[in-house]
Formats: sequence, C-alpha cells, structure tokens
Amino acid sequence: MSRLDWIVLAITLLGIIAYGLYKSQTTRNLDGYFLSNRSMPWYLVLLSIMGTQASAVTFLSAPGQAYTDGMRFVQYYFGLPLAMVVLCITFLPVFHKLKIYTAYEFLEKRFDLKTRTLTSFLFLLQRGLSTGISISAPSIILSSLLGWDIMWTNIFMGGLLIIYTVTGGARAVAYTQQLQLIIIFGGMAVAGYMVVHLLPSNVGFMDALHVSGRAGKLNVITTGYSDHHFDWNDRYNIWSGVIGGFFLALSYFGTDQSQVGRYLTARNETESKLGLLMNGLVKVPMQFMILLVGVLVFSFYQFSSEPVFFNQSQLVLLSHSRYRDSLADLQVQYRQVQADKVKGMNFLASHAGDSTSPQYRQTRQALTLTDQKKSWYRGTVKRWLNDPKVGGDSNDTNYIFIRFVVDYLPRGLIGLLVAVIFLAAWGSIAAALNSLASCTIVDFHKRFSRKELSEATEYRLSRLYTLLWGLFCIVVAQLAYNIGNSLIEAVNVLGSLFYGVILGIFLVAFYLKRIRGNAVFLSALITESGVITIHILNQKGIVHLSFLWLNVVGAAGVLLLSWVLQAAGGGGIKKVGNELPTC
Amino acid sequence: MKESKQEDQPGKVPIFGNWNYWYLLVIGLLVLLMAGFYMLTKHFS
Repeated sequence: MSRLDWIVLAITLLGIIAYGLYKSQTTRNLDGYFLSNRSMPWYLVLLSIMGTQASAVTFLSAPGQAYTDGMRFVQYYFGLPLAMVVLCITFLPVFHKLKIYTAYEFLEKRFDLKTRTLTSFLFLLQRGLSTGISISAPSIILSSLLGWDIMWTNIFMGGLLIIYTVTGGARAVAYTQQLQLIIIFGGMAVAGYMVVHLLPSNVGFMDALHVSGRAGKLNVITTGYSDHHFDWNDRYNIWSGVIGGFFLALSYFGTDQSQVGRYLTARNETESKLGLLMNGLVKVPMQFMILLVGVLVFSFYQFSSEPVFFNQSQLVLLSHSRYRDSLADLQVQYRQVQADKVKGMNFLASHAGDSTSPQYRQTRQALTLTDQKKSWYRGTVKRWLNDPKVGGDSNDTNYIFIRFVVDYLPRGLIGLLVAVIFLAAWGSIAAALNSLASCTIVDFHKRFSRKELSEATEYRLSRLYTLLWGLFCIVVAQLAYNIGNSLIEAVNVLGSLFYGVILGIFLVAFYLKRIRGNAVFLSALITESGVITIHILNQKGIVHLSFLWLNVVGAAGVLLLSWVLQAAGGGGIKKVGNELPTC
Repeated sequence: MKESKQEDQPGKVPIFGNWNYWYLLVIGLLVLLMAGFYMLTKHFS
C-alpha cells in the first residue's frame, strides 16, 4: 500500500472511533447501555441490523463467490424477506410487550429457568466462537495479501472497536454502524464503477454481462435439479434459499441476541417493524449488487491478465515445496495461454458486429480450448496445494476481489477498500460483543446473583463483560489462525448447528401453547445431539446434506419431539395458562 | 440524550395505514425480484 492508502485507512478508522466516542453519551444503566434507552428511529435500526449481518467476509467473499460460482448465491437470501414478515407478526409484539433485554428472558416466562439458561448458553457458545472466527477470517486475508503480522492484524481488526463499544454500548454501536455502512456502500459503488471503467474501451457494461453470461456466471435462479433428481447437497438453489434461508433468517433475526438487541433499541414497536421490513425490502437487491461486482470482475479478467491462483502466499508456499520446478514451468505455460486468451477476447470484442464470419467462429472455438487449458492449470495448482506434504489452502475465493483491488485500483482507493473491510468487520463484531455482554449480565450474572445489584454496578459490570468478550474473541481469532484456514468456512456451518434448535425452542414457545418446559428442554438436548451427529456424518461422507438444511432439521426436530414428549409425559397435553402476550 | 424517550406503544402504521399492506409489499417485491432474476438468467444463459 502507498503512503496515500495508509493515510486514507488511518483517517477512516480513527474517524469512526472518534465518532463512536462522540456518540457514546448514554444513561448509566442497563437500559441505556444495552438498549440505548429504547430511543432509536427506524432508519438507525435498519442500518444497525444490516451492519450487524454484513461482516468483512461478506464483502470479501461474495464477489469472489460470484466470480467462481456465479450469482446463484443471492438465492441464499430469498427466505429473509419472508422471515421479516413472520418476525413482525409473531416475535416482535411479544418482545416489546414484555420489555425484555434479551430474547432468552422470554423463555423463562414461557417455560422455565433451565430452558432460558440452555438457550442463552448455546447462543454464547456459538456467537463467541463465530465472532472470533469473524475477526480471524479477514485478518488472515489481509495479512497474507499485504504481508502484515497476523497478531497485530487480529488486534486491529477486533481490538480498536472495543474502545467505543465498551464506552458507548448499543448507542455507539448503532451510530458507528450508520457511518460504516455509508462508507462501505460508497466504497463498493466506486469499486463497481472502476471495474467497468477498466474494461477495454470497446467493451461496455452490457458486453461485460454477456461475457459473464456466456460463462454461466449470471445463473441467478437455479432449481437444484440435475439428471432428473434433486441434489440435497447443492448449497444454493431456489428451494434451499427460500426454505432453508427462511429458517436461518428467522432463527438469526428472531433468536440471536446480536440481532434482537438491535431492533429492541427502537423507540417503539412501529419503528422496530419498519426497520425489519425495510431490511426485507433492501437486502436481496443489495446482495445482488455486491455479487454483480464479482461478475464484472470476472468479465474484466477475461480481457486482462488473470493470476493462476489469487492467493499469492500459497504460490510462495508451493515455490518452497517439491513442486517448485513444476510450478515455474506451469507459470510460463499459463502466461502464454493467458496471452492467447486476452488476444482472442479483444478480437471478439472488436469484431462483435461480424459474429458470423469464419474467423470469429474459429476464435471462439480456440477460446473454448484456452479456457479448458486455464482450468487445468488452476486445477493442477489446487491439487498441489492439497498435497498433505504442502499443507496449503486450495480455496482462493476470498482473495479474488481484494487481489483485483490491490492490483488495479488507483492509490487512495486501495486504502478506502481496505478500510471498508475493517469497518464491515467492526460493525458485526461490535454488535456481537454488545449482545454477548448483555446475555452474560442479564441471563447469568444478574439472574443467578444472590445480591441485588445497583444500577451503577450493573453498568460497570456490563462494560467489563464487553471488554472481556472482546479479549476472548481476539484470543479465539489467534487460535483459529493457528489451526488453519479451513475455519473460515466453519463460521457459516457453526451457525446452522445451533440456530435450528434455538429457533425450534422459540417456535414451540410461540405456537405450541400446550408444551411445557421439561418437554422442550429435553427435546432441545436430543435434537442438538442429532444435528451435530448429522453434521459429523456429513463430514465423513455418509450423509449428503447441505448445511442450510440443518436449520430445518433442528427446528422441526424440537417441534416434533417436544410435542411427542409432552404427550408421552405425565398429564398429556394441556394448554398452558394465557398469562403471556399472545402473537 | 437528544432523542426523546417515547413510550413503547404501537404507533400509527406509516403510509399504508395497515401492516398487512406492508407485508404484501415485502412479499410482492420478493416475487417480482425472483421473476426478474429468472428472466435475467434465461436472457444471459
């Protein structure tokens, strides 16, 4: 990075910290610290929800995902708008009427203390680990790309935000997320414009879409059917997106305190609903635009030199392995193929009006062969990296977009895009720390303390727990780096292991009024064991089920099992008293 | 605190006057987007 990039990066990050501290003034009690005195307007709730969901990996990985696998990843978000509607009808009115701090308080009122404690514990376990990985994932990418020390990158990625998160609580989190999202969207829009701008002069936006369309990258809707049967292991298709995505979004937004804590800051139920429904309106188009940037980067590389592997540090690793000489030969051959490809693509672009000529057709045929050769070279590099003696990481999806940024964007913009990655990480991590601290103090410390705590003590403890969770997550990030890159993928799977069961508990609470605490508690334990077993069998190749379906299995398992256990248990199924607000 | 602390009462439903219309809008836009994406996929494939 140039000096100008460093200046842009430093000003942006310091500006956010200063803004967070400036907005930190809040009343010194739990209501002020965790819920910003329930005073936020809907647009701040919306930005806070979006800022919490969008992590750094979202902006690093999504364009790379579109580059390698096309735009079908957008289907992952199809269930989200439906979940927003269900939340507004079912969950939100109850949460607001009960005036709770954490979603799990509701479970004690509905069932019993052990169900509340179990659910809150599952949340703390899942959120604490995944936040650590959320720090580690972008740190690994930036340290690998820019040669930064991983420990310091982790500390900067997960540590600086602690300053304003500890000081200002939910209020500082919401206001900084507002500014962070403005910078993030601005940065991504400029990156999108620059990709089109960097295309050859005779290639426009629509041409770029046609290029990626021909390569199958504009596969926005896929059905998951191949060879006349449905592929249950296919991660992103319209069915897994609508059904699996619905359960995942309902669980994430309805039962994950990092999100519940955001919309409980709204000044009333109407503002919460508006924030959630607006999220349902804008999330799919927003994700589409981010993926579109990846597709445009793909088109750009059809006319420019594309690296054989986007993670340079892995090529360095290979160059120190027994594949050193083979790699050198391969890179020479790859450069020649790449030059032929660029020459052919430029010919097609400049003769687009003459597509029926024999020369045009010959060039297209030659390009098909060139693409096959390029795939073979890339596959060979991946195979070498997968060699246990090399111990490399053969997945370079997360490096594609940032590699393009570093190699092709002008000075200053690189600093801005690196800042975007930091800010995206900070937005989700800050909300996670706030929610981890709120559950620790409300569901555990305060609930099990024999002493009555004063407001000042609760406030002081809340800040302390925020700080401790921040330090814990940095330690997890450091351990995640030492264990290996494969943990980056784990952050997605980790959520699906727990979300289904937690959602199942809440669905029983809302919809099966006759089920009591013992039945739901036992069914949650059994189903969680079952979900983890399915995941292990999936890892071993015995079962073939995409991780999104684990949410459905978990939720359906708790619903069904708790009903059976309640019916089989003493007294049959009797309706619980109607002392709680109804949906 | 600059924001006035308002009581947690469900206020008037903005614009449409009824939340059901908001829900229809969200679901309707999703259906429209899916249809648009389907046509985009067909057009560029």
